Amino acid sequence: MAGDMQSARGTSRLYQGKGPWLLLPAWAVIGIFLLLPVCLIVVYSFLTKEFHGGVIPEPSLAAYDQFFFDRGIFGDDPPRIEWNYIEIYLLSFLQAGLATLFCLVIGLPSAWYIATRPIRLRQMLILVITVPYWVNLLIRTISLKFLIRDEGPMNAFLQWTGLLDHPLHLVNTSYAVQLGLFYSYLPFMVLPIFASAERFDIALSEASADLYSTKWQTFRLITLPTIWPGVVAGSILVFVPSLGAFLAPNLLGGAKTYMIGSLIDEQFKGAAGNWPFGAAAATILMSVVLVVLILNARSQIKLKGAG
Amino acid sequence: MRRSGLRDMPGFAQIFGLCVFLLYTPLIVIAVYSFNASSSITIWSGFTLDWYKEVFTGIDSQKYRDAAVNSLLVAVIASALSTVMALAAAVGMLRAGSFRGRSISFGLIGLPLLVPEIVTAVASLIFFSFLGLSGSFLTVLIAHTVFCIPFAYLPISARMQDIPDLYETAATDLYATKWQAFRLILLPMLLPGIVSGYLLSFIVSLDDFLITNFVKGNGFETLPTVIFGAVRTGIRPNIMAMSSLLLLISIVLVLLSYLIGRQGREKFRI
Amino acid sequence: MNDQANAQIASSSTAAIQVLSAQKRFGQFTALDKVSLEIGAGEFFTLLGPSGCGKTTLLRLIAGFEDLTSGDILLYGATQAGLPPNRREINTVFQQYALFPLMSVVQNVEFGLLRKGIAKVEARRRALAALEMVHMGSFVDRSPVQLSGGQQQRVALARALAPEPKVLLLDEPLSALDLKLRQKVRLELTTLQRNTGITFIFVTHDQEEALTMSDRIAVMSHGRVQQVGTPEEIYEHPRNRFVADFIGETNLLAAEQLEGQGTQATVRVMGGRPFRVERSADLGVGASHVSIRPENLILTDAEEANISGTVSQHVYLGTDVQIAISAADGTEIMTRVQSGSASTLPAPGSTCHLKVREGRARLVDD
Repeated sequence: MAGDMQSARGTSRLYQGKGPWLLLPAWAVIGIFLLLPVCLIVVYSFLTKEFHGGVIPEPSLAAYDQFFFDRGIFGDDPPRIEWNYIEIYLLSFLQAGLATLFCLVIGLPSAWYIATRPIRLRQMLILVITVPYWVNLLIRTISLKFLIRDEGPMNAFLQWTGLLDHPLHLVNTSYAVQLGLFYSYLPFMVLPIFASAERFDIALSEASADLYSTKWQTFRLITLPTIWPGVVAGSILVFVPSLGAFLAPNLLGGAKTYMIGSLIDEQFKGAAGNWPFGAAAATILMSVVLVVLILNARSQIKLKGAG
Repeated sequence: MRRSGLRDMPGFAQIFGLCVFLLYTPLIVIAVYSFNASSSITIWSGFTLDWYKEVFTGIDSQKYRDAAVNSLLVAVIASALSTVMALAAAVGMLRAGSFRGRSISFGLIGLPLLVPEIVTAVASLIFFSFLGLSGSFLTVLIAHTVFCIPFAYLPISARMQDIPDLYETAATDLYATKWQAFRLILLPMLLPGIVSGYLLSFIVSLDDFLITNFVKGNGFETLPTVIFGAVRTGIRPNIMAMSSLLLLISIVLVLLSYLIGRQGREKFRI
Repeated sequence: MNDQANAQIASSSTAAIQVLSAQKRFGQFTALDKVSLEIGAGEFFTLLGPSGCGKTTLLRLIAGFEDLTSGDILLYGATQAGLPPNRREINTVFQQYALFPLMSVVQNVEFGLLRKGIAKVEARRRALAALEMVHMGSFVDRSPVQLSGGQQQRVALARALAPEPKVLLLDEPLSALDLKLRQKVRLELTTLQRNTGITFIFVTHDQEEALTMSDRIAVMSHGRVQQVGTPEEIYEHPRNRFVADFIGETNLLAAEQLEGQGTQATVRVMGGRPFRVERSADLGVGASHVSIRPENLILTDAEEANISGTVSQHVYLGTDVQIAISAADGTEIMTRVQSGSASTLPAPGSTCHLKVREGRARLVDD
């Protein structure tokens, strides 16, 4: 019966009709202080910049023009494609993509390993993975930087063992940024894969093995497709924040490895700032993220349709 | 429990070991080196508590103390506000049947998690400047309250989903009004979820750097913003000591939140 | 109570609950389709039916957990429509008991009394008395989580009875108990009902529970009441195919009605010898099935046979042996004989002839 089924899912109609009122505070706070401001970014990206920060309320395409076109030093050359900013975006994509890949390579086996332990141990291991996530990201990034510095403990150790005779130069390279992003968001990969792996019915694997599959064939043909939604969710959770990351590129990458986060940040700091341009950069970032999320939602709907 | 060899893939245990190693090594190293007597910070030259002393009594200690007080004030208030709103929202989502706007509400509550942090930071800055609000305690508090809501919401709604509405139904059958059913039955059962949600949003607020840095304005600092300012010139041992302290606070709060949540689950398994 | 007493209760003006063409829809699905019932004060009334028949929905409507789509429900003549559960003097014993896990046993029981505004001391006194009544007086300060299923059930009962409701609703309260305990609790429940005099409305899908405990039963299916009557009426005189089939085991056979008058009729089944059956006087013209319980079919010889067929198998059931017989048109027919006579049973594959016990077959509505 409909009423019973509803309560089984932990939802009910006990406060029927009060829903909108109960949600109103959260709606209002998020709507006014996040949704509205996010829309305001788009508006600002089409306004004229004011020196020393801020905007003049005059419509202008200057920000996007600056982003996509190069018109020479005096602004009167015929427009050519400006690669500078597009390159920063592409590089950020690459960095975020590589970080996602590394997280997947380490995160997937780890998540599967945890999900297949007995229940008590499983809960403990997942806590072990979760704890670093809750530690201040700034402090984690500082710790990593301290560890991998040229004269840091890692290099000291490697040289002491004789594996290296001169320090491995990592800080201020794109490798350090990848490592930083990987380190920042690894738990985001493990948790959703774990969640879907935990629900996996091992009887399916047994049936597959019974039908002459090897372990790896079973994993590839049976396990992987069932935990795929977790893999996709994890990849998005790593990729999206990596793309707009600020701390890892800023503290570990130095001036050479500039990412979207630093580009936007700079536009709002000090007199050199350009608010409309920063807003345009943020709008473009948001659009990219939106596309990723929509693609994901679509593929999920497809999956549901197929299932 | 059934054990089958099919669960164990060769090499996965080692990769898991590597995963834990990678996650914890930097944290352990910085904690260990915060006790290093040498100020050159790389070479170990004996145990000392000097850096911790410096955090509390050194030249900059007043600055850190003020920042710590600001961080705590913001975290205490922002997580309280967001927990109350998240609680109301969870009741609205899970106990009020279906209504127009219910499915979109879920997206709205999760919005702070979906929008990249840098975009949220920029958006908040632009919005506050648009309103003519200059950076202060208030702007930081508002921004923190917003992004804390989903962190408070998730444990509360997860807990509420585990509690069938049967108990509240039984209470109304026994002459309790809806408010009494909420206050006397649902609220006590939800308490572990509420505490868990409060602690998580507390940590998130305490941790935030990027958004705070955008909306704080001049003169208002929180711990992460002063630490960030300090490390630009290099990682000094007193920063490592302070980081280790914050590390400890985060870990203690997470474990507390976990234990309370688990105790709740075990106490009334249905 | 005997049948006459029951009939009197049902028709007297002191109906505890009157359900007046109650309808409940969930979206497109009609859970309850214009049901009307009258439940007398002090009655032990059972709603019986398979899952999804609407019995639980009806119970929830009476309790006030659901709102009627149309129709009305009266408690001692007063409409309950629109009243929330906390303003109805009706309490419920839930299937999963729903004891508040963070409160002690006695806090659970006094909950309703306190909400009704009864003073603390008095509420505690009455809660303890209610616990005594269900023999749980020594578990007062325990947490309900520590109790066994049977003990939880008693506490749930005490909790629902303590505020002295005008009607007590019981939603399959025995289904979570094991078989032995269930039989014991059945007896206790009927005793309790008699001693308190409170009207019980009991929901179950278990016909044995319904038959042994109730004063009257309403058999439900597909959101409708199929028949209301005493256990004996329901079992012996089922009105329609559903009731005949749902209560006990029976053979439902297509029959040709040769003549019918009043409560008697003569029918023929599968071209066999005609036999006399019972029917209710108001039976519809379309009635074309007879219900014959397996124990009312006797092995006989060819001349006396009402039905014939081929034995397909024997199933040993302890005191009885069940014989499955395939009629010429493929219909499966069951009969039962006592185990002792096993040696004389017709072997599987042999032809066998059956006679209907005089007056024990019944013509039923479709």
